This record gives sequence, structure tokens and C-alpha cells, in this order.
Amino acid sequence: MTQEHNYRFSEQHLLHVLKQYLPTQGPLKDFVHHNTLHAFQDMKFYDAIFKASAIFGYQTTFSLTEYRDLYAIKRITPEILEKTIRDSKGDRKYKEWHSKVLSKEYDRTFAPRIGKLRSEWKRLYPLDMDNAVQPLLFRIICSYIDQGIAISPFPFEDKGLLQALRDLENRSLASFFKTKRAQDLLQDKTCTLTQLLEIVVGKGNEAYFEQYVYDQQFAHQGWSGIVSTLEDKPEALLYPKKISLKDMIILELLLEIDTLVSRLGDKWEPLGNKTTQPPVDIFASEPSTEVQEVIKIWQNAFEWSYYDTVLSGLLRTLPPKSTKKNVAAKSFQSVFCIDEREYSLRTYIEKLDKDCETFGAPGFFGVEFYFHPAHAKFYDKLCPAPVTPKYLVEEIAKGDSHAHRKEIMYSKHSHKLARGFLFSYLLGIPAIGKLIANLVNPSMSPAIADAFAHMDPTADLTILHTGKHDRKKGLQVGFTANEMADRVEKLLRCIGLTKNFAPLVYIVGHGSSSANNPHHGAHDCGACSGRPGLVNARVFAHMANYGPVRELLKSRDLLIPDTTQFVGGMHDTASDDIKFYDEAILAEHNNQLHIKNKHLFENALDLNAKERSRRFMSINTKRPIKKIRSDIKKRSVSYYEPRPELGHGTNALCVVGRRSLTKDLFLDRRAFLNSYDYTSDPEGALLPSVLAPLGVVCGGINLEYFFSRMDNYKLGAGTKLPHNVMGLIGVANSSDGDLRSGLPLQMIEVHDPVRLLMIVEHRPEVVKKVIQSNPDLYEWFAKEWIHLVAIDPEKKALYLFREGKFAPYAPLTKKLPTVRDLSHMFETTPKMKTNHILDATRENLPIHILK
Amino acid sequence: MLLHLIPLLALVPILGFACCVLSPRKWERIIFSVAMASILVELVLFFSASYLWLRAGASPVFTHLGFLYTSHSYDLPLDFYFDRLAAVFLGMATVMTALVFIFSKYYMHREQGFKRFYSTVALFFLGLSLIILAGNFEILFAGWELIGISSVLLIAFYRDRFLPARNALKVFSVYRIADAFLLAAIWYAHHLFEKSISFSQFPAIIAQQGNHLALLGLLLCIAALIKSAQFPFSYWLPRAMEGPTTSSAIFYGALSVHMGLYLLLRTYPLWQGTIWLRIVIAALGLITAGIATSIARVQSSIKTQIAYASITQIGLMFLELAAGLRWLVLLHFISNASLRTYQLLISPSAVSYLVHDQFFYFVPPHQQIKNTLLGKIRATWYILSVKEWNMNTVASHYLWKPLKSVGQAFAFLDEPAFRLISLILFLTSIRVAASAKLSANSRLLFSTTAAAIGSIFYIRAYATKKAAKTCWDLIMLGHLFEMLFLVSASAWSWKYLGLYGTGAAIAFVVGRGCLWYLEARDEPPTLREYGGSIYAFTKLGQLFFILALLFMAFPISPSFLAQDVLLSLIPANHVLQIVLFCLSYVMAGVSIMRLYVKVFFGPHKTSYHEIAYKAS
Repeated sequence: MTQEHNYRFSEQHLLHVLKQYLPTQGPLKDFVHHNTLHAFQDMKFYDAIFKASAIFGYQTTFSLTEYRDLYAIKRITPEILEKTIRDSKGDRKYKEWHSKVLSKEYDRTFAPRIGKLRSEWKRLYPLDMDNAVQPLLFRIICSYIDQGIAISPFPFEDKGLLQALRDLENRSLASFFKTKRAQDLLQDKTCTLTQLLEIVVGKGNEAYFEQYVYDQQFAHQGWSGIVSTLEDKPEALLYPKKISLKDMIILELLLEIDTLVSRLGDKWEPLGNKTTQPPVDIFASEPSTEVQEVIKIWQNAFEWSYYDTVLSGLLRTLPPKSTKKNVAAKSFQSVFCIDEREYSLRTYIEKLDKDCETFGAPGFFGVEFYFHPAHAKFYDKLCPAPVTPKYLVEEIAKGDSHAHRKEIMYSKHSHKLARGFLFSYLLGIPAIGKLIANLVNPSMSPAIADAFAHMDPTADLTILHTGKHDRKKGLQVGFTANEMADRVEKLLRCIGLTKNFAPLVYIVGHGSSSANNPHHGAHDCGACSGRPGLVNARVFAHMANYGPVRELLKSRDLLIPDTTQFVGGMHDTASDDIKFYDEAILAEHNNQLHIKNKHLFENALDLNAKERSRRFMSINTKRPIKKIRSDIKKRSVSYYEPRPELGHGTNALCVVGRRSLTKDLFLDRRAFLNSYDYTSDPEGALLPSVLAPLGVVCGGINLEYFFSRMDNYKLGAGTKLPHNVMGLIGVANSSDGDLRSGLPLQMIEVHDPVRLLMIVEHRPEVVKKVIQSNPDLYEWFAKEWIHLVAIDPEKKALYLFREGKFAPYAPLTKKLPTVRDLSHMFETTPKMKTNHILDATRENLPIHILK
Repeated sequence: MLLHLIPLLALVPILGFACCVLSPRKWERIIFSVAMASILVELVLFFSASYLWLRAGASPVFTHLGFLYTSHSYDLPLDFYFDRLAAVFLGMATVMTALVFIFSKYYMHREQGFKRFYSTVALFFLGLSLIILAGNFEILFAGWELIGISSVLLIAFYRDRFLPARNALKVFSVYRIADAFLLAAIWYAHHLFEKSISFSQFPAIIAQQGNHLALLGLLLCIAALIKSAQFPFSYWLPRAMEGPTTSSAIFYGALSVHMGLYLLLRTYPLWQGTIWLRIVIAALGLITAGIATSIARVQSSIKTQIAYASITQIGLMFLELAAGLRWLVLLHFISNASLRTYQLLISPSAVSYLVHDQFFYFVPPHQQIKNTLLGKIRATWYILSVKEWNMNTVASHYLWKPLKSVGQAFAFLDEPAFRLISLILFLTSIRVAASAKLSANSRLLFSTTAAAIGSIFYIRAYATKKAAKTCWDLIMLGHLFEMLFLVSASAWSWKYLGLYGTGAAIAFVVGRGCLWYLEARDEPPTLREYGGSIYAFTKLGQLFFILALLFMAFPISPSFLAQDVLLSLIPANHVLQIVLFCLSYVMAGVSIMRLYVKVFFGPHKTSYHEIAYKAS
């Protein structure tokens, strides 16, 4: 190894690499989906997942047996498997690879590279270093970061972790450390990370230093990850803490020295002197193996067995070249989030009113701002995570109606001695009463995350920038008319809603209410940084109704009739409720239409609830539809329900195009739908801004589900039933456990781990030009983290993007099932027996053509 | 009528547990219905019994159903007892279990181990009702043991992870110590009263015995303090919360943790006259309350905080109990158990509730500690509380470490030659003991030596990190010498020797076969690290668990009976022998459970599937 010679250890390099590979999930209150293997995203998908697996021991695919079982149950079809093998191995080697894929046995065991050096503690000293150090380390870190579980906070917490510890230890007669040596090292401010490594790993063993720290930190990547994230984004906490990854490593090394000295006395050899292993470059590349090729074929075949049917369906139901010019007047239009959970609701709305039109756009509706709820001490960011808004919208409540209601059962007084004594006498019986009440008749309470409570519907919002109260904390309060017009125009043009305005245009955000669910943020709107999107919807509607904005739009050739009014609202994807805002401004005529439409929305939600209920064991899908609806609603406020909804589970597709593309297909709530009308944008001028957020939002969601599904132990959070809330920032399994990032089992069990297939309705050359203009976006496709297909509406042909160019794709699927009565289908498809992939995947219905 | 109902109250949970175990694994509906039906029947029976009992004047009711076993010197009566105390505890236990059953129907849906969960909670409930309805110490002890076993199964419910497996073992070990004290108390009571006494006889006995009751009270008190997680044993409670939130809530929030309190309430007449003991109980209760509340104040994980908050109140209950306020204790128990169960069940909501609350009411805390005496105390207090007053480390350092060191000193026993020599030694000894007429003194020396050798084998088995089969052999050798000790210390009896030997031998042989099978299937069981073999060998793991119970002379094994009979025959003045016996009892149980957990639980060592991080 060349590295052994003149090796230089650099703390900066170490921390840089480490931070890159650690999980970047922030505190649970805002859940932002991202690619779990983001550190490998500069590599091609398969190279990346195999490398990650070799380094960290992640299971990034199914096992061979599972793929073969999927083949046996026809979830992977023989035609697609054949095509996949021929495409990748050529016709000549087809036979050979076909038998390898189907029947050759491979050694299935694997040993990750990480942790090997660390295991030497146990072998040579023998000492269980993890066990000796981690519980106390986690406890100190968690107490330090804690957002409000403890009654007494960490003393000196404003001074940074190490300094706070120094001050605390100085004052105290007790110590976190057992030995004087570790205490002295802590107090020595000049002591560096390198010096501590020299003590533990040994002077002259610099070649081991990086490997040692990687081993150490990836033994608890949850805690290290959150510390690293908070170091970079302290504002992710309401109560920011000064903490750095380096401090955490120093603390861990101090605790290790403490353990060594207390167990082995003063005389012990550093690890580097005793180990017989040569230093290893953890991140070195590895040659690919035959079994990896086989797995690759299987995973591709698994994905394409599904995609192929979808593409075949799209081609078959492709609408005529351009929709007829003189279409009937629209009854109303409704813009939803692109979220795949809104897909079914849109279908039902359109089914109930053939004259209406629905659209999909990212759920912040292009208006980015911080929101300040009345009486709140903080701001909420309401836009995609990478965006930093310059605007502030304040809620001006009438009275103090919006202040948070208290729930006595959560009072920390019950943990104290004397008041706890009183509380435990007085609250016991009411507690049982509450428990029984929630078992018998679940209902909303302050302890339940209520998406609608995010904003007071009766309060005013400071949407218009008046110049009077100008700025707050460096943010502009409200938007100027011009800024409003820009945003309204951009959204309407992108989704292709530029003419034929109906009297009412609904802007419907979404959020999710759920009880007893630390991951509730993951169910809210991803385009609003994991929060409900109701404020954005209301703000957008207000902007679009604002007179001066209309004038400006008129001057920009976007004529919205004066009779057209916008209405903001929110759909709760868990309880299937919908609410609208500012209904009072509606003109008399529109109000009557609105009352009719509300009725229609309710009926559509009934149908939506029915479709969702087919996956819920606790709800009988054959019940009367209103009963199902109330069951669904109860489910969202039941403490005992770990699956209030299934989140983005099963997401697989992202269709950018006109609604008519997918209107005749049943896609089983698996598609993100972003409206885009190529006819109004022939050269693709708007397409870059339409596509830009989709990679990171939909790709992030998709890959987080993908990896959490493939390895729920290491990349996901495991089952949520034993979870213990740590410091209000995350969950762990035990009182002494590592923080679990990723998604819990209950969210991913319905998910078929396939990469996202993005389908863009435009000529391939236009799509290519557009994606090439945005390197960040381009990487998603070029490195195969997302599949891309262009659908040429004129030629009625499909083009698959591969190896940097579009090539025609002809679906193999010849026959697609049709369905006339969806309700009947939902009532008759069986619910999954277990959450093993073989059972779970059968619950996901194939694509159908709607009759 | 009432006399018939009370035994039924104990019988229904047995049936309920049996039906749960026999239900098909994949049919959640059936498993739930069976479990729920049994608990509902129990509830109806309970209310009928309570009604009849109240109407009859609410005086204690005692039923004697006969004898489980009887010989000229030893009886094992099957007695049940129902009074105010039993009514309150059984009512709470049944209602809470019913609620948790309903809650779990949805909560546990599709969880691997749905059936295991219901079966284990049913087993737990069975243990609970035996304790509560027991009419004598023996029945109570059987229930006490069942709770220990079901605890292991529920703590290690997620058995493919390291922490649940380790913590299950940790809690079992502490429980085992409590069991040993209870066993010693039973032995002592037996000598004190010269028979197995029923709880209904307490008033009469107390009049007779007077002063000798202090020691009995002390033994019971220690058992109770451990079982109720009082200082310095509190550390086990938060670590027991590894299973699904529902089981943590009912076990460690509500019922299991109050069982120590129950023991003291039940035996109240025995120790109420000993003033110093009452002072000790009050003092420990008060210390616990003070320390536990300080820990609860600084904990940053929600379940740990609730655990210590609950311990705080239990400490206060001990205080109330020492003051003789039994009514108050009962009220406090009902209320605390309900509140903590609810708090634990809704603990995952903390994120949304507290963050939301913070969003509107946050005031940055000001925790500056001045450099004064008061500041020093506060800083010290903070550090100690974060570290749970070192209770965990102290226990491992002063209790388990020394035992490990003793075990290390006898590492040579691992050698096959020594095991063979020991076997020969045993066979010779048994011949000598059976044939030779030893004087009383040499018999005492002989049996005490055998007891010491036995416990050394158990301790060695606890310390060994070698192959599991070596450990299994060591435990068997421990059993052999234990047998030798018991028969030579009491009355020489081939019958009991055979009874004891059969139970142990069956478990040994079949268990050895299981270990051999694992080795043949490329998963050599060792004690160096956790093996997680249950992932690939589920059925074998279940079988081995039963074998392990047999091997540790659990109340289903013939060894248990022999052990109990022989134990009762050891004269009252042979204190050293009893100490050795208790030591052996703890170490045998802990070694066997350690072997089981290390071989079958934890992350599976053969990695061809997802495996959890050790720290997760």
C-alpha cells in the first residue's frame, strides 16, 4: 500500500470525509427525505450500493433467494428477465448468464470493512470498548442536545460541549470519568484530537488513525450523524446547541482512555502497537464480482417488470395529439401537491365531475417564506429544504386562540418528588379514563399532531408587504405585488393553467395528523420542509386573488377573468379531511358553486378513504363508505395505531406532463404527478424550473424508502414499537441505544424498492437539453439513481435515457388488465399476510386500464 | 360458591396461556380472541368473586384445594387466599392486562412475534395471578419465578439485537437475586413454623414467634426492594424497557415493578412488629425517592424519565407502608400504576406535543452553576444523576465482577480432563456417602464441601467464554455436586436423588444434543459473543428454552420438587449451607440463562441478511 509510506494524518481531512458519510437526517420535528447514500451519489447507482455494502455491511439489495422467489411468484417476469440479461450480457452469453441468474449458488455471507480494527479491543485486551464507552457517551451527548425532556438542563450548555464539561467537572465533586488521567486531559485545553489518538492508537501509528476514528464513529452513526448535522445546521433546533463532531470524537477518546486506564492500569500498549492487521483504506474501491452482476440483473428485472407495464399503459392510452380547441367550460380547477398520495383523490374528483380539471405542482406552490404563528416564539420554514426564503408571513390572531393547549398528562411535574406525589394520586384514574376513551372512541387531543392546527383559519396573514413594518430578523414581511405576480405567473405557466379559467380554482396543500408518532413530520409535505402545506395554499390563493396582481398578470399576457376566484385549502392525508380558507371573500355565485364543490370533495374523499382502506387490516373495505371514512379518521387519532397512514410507501413513478397522460390508468397511488403542458412550452423554456426540484424531492423520497426497505436495521429505524424518544430530536431503541435514523418498518413494509421512473412528456431532444443544463439534476439520471423516459407526444413514442442519450423503448407487455369497478377491486384484493417482500409485493396492484 | 371461584381465578390464566401457545402463529385474530376471551372470563370471575366476597363481609377467604405433593416430612399444599389486598391487585392486573391486550391488537399488528407477545403477556399474567392469589409462600414463589421468565422473554422480545438480549440477562440476574432471598425466606419460615404455612395463619403464628420474625422480615424486605427497583437496584427498570411500548407500559410501568410492594403488603403481619426493620424500609424508600427523582429530572430520554418517576413514587409507597398506612399505599399503587402506564403508552407523542409546546412557550433555561458550596452540590448532583448514581456500574463492579474473577481462577475446570476427574470424584463420593456411616460432623463437612464445589462449578460456568457445550457440562457437574450436597445434608434418599437427577439429566442430554446440532450446522455455539442462532433455528431455540428451564429446576421440572423437599430438610442452624445453596441457585440460573441468551439471542453472527448494529 502506498499510503503506509510518508503517511500524514490530517484532522481536517478526517472530519471532512467522516461528515460526508455520516447520516444527515436532522431532528425529527422536520423530516426531510433524502438519499440515504448521498455520500455515494457521485458514483453510478450499482457501483455505489455495492461499495456502500462492502464498507458498511448494508444490505442494499434483496438476497438472491428473495429475487428468485419473486421470480417464482411472477413478480419478476421471464420476458423482462430475458431482456435484461440480453441487454447487459449480449445474446451470445445469454444462456450462460441465464443459468447463473436462476440457479448458481453463491456464498451469501459478507463481512464489512468497517469495525475490523475496533474488534481488536475485544480480541487482544480483551475489552468490550463499545459497551464500556457508548452508554455514557450517548447519555452525555443527549443530555447536552436535549430540547426539553429533562427538567434540569445541562449546565453551561451555551459554552460548547467540551467547555461545558470542563466547567461542570470543575465545580463538581463527582466526575463523568473514573480516572484522573482522563480528567486532566479534558481540562487541558491544548490537547488535540491527534494527541488523543496518539495515546489510544499509538504514536507512530498514524496510518491507523483515520481507520480507527471511522470504526469508532460508525459504530454509532446515529449520534455522530445528528451531531454532525447540528454542527452544520444549528438552526435545525429550536433551542440551538453549540456542538461539533470533533468535540464528540474527543469526548469519546477521553472516555476510551478512561476505560483503558481504569481497567488495565497505567501500563498498556496502544492499539496500533498490538494489532496484527495492516491498516486498511476503508473507502478504497473493490473489484466487482460475479454475484454483483447477477444481483444487478435481478434488481433491474424487478424494476422493469413493473415499469414496462406502466410504459405500455401510457403508450396505449396516449391522448390525441392536442386536446380539442373548444372544450367545454370547466366547472372548477384544483391544484394539488405532486405527492403520490393525492393521486387517488384527484382521480375521484375528476370521476365525480367530468368537467373539472386537476393539476399537480410542488406543494409549497412556489411561494417560499417563513411563517410566524401568532404567539409563537419561532418561525417555521415553509418551502423545500434547500431554499432559504427572504420573506416572512405573520399570523395575526384575534385574541389568543392559537396558543397551544396544555395536556396535563404530559406535565413534567409528575416526575418530581412532592408534586409527583400529588399528581400520581390525582391523575391515575383520569389517565385510565383517557386511555379507555381513546380505545373506545379515538378523538383529537393536544397530544396528537394536528395538521390543521398549524394555522388559525380565522387569523389574518401579513401577505402583502406594506413597507410599514418592513423587516423582521432580516426578513421582508410579506411580498410586494410584483413578487406575488412573479410567483403566481410562474406556477400557472409551469402547470399549463393559462386559459379556460373556471370560476373557482382550488389550491390544496396537504398535511398529516397522527397520534403517538414521532415520525409524523415524514408524513407532511416534503416541499414544505416536512410541514403541512396549508399556509402556502392560503397565501398563494390570496396572491392570485389580489387585484394589483391580476393587473400585473394581465400586462404579462396571463388573463384571469375577474369572476375567477382562488381558494386555498388543505387535505389531511391521514384523516382524509379537507378544509378551505377565506371562504368569506367568495362572490355570491362562486360561493354557491363552492358549496356544491365542497360536497363533491367530500364524496371524493369517501372514495379515497375506501381505496386507502384496502391496505388497512383494521378496516373492513366492504363496510358502507361513510363508515370507512369515519374509521379512517379515527385511525389518525388513535394512540394504538402505528400506521395512521402509509406515507410515501410504494412510490415508484413521477410523471411530468398533462393529466390526460395518466387519466385512463389506475396507478395505485404510486405516481408523483407534476402538471406540465408541452403544447404551451414547445421549446421547453419552462421545463428546467419544473424539473429542477423533482430530483431532490421525489428522488430523495424514493431512495430513502428504497434503502430503508432494503435494510431496515442499518439504514432504516427498525420497528417503531420499542422506540424511545431521545431529547426530542430522535428515537432510539433502548435507554442506552444509538439514535435510529431512516424510516421505521411500519412506513416501508408496503414499499416495493424500485428506483423512481421519471416520465417527461416532451420531445427527447428537448428533455436532454434541459437536463444537461442543470448538472445537479443531470447527475441523478446519468448515474442511474433515477430512470428517465421521455414520451414524445407527437410521435407517440417512448425514449429511455441511458448512457447519456435517449434511445427508443418498446414495451414488451402486450396485455394489460382492465378495470371497470374500482370499488369492487379494492374489496376483493387480499391484504398482505406478512410484511415479507413476497407477501407485501402482492398487495401492490398491477397497473390497470380504466374502462 | 366463593371458595370455588377463587381457584378458578388462578386456573383461567393457565388455560388462557395454554390456548395462546396453541394458537396458529400467523392468525392474529385467533391469537387475540383467545387471549382476550381468557382475560374477559377472568374479569367476569373477578367481579363475581369480589361481589360475593363483599357481600360476605369482605373478610379474608382461604381455600385449601389439597396437596400438590406430600410426604411424611414435607407437604406442598395448594392454597389460595383472597382479601382486600388480593382484590385490589388482581383487579388492577386484570384491567390493565385487558386494556393492553386491546391496545396491542392494533399496535402489534403484523409484528414478527405477535403470538409470542400475547403468549408471553399471558404467561406474565399467570405469574401475576399466582402471586396475588397465593395462599402460601410456595405458590407465591412459583408465580414469582414465572414473572422472571416472562420478563426475559419480553425484554428480549427483539431478540435479534444486542441491547435487548444483554438487558434481558441483566434484569434476569437481578431478579434471580431477589428470588434467592425469597427462597431463603421460605426455607427460614419453614423451620420457624415447622411446616408450610398459609397466609391465613399469620396472626396465630405471630403470637407464637415474636422475635425470630425479624430475620424473616429482612429476607422478604430485600427480595421486595430488588423486585420493586429500589435503591441501589433501580438501574434495572429503565433497561427493562426494551420490548414494545405496550409491554413496557404494563410490566414496568404498572404491574411487575409493584410486585415487591405486594410481597411486603402480603407479609405485613410478619414484620410489622420489628421496628428497626420498618425504619430501614422507610429510610430506603425515602432515599430511593430522593435519588430517583433527581435522576428523573435530568434524564433526556422519555422512557427512562418515566421509569425513574415511577420508582420515585414506589419509594414513597415503601415509606407509607413502613408507616403502616396500608390503605394509602393501595390507593397510591392504583393511581401510580395507571398514570405511568398511560404516560408510557403515549410517550412517542412527546415529540409532537413537547416540540409544539416549546414552539409557543419556550424560555431559554438558565443553568449557570456558581462556584459556591451550593454550586458544588448542584454540579455533583447533576453528574451523579446523569450517571444514575453509578448504580449500574456498582452492581457490576461489586457483585458480578468478583464472581467472574472467582470463576476465572477456576479456568482449569474447562479442561476435559478436569471435567472427567470431577465426574469420577462425584461417583466415588456418592458411593462413599451412600455406604459409609459418617458421623454428624463429618457429614456436615462432607455436604458443605459438596455444596462449595457445586457452586464453584456454577460460578465457573458463569465466567467461561469458551464453547457453550463446555459451559453446559460445567453446569451439569454443578448440579451433580449440588445433588450430593442436598441429599447428604438432609436425609439420604435415592428417591429424591433420582428425581433431581432425572430432571437435570434429561435437560442435559437433550440440550447437549441441541448444541451439537448447531455445531454440525456451522453455527458453533460459543459464549464469547452473542450468536443469534434463533434467526436460523427458531424451533430449536424454543426447545432449548424449555430445556434451559428444566435445567435450572424451574417449577415445571421434577428437580424443583426434589430441591424444595431436600432444602426444607436442611437444619436451621446450617447457615453456611443455605448461603451456599442460595449462591448456587443464583449462579445456576444466571449461567443457564446467559448460555441461552448468548447462543440464541443477539445479532445473528452469520451475515447473509440484515443485521442490526450492536449499538442500536
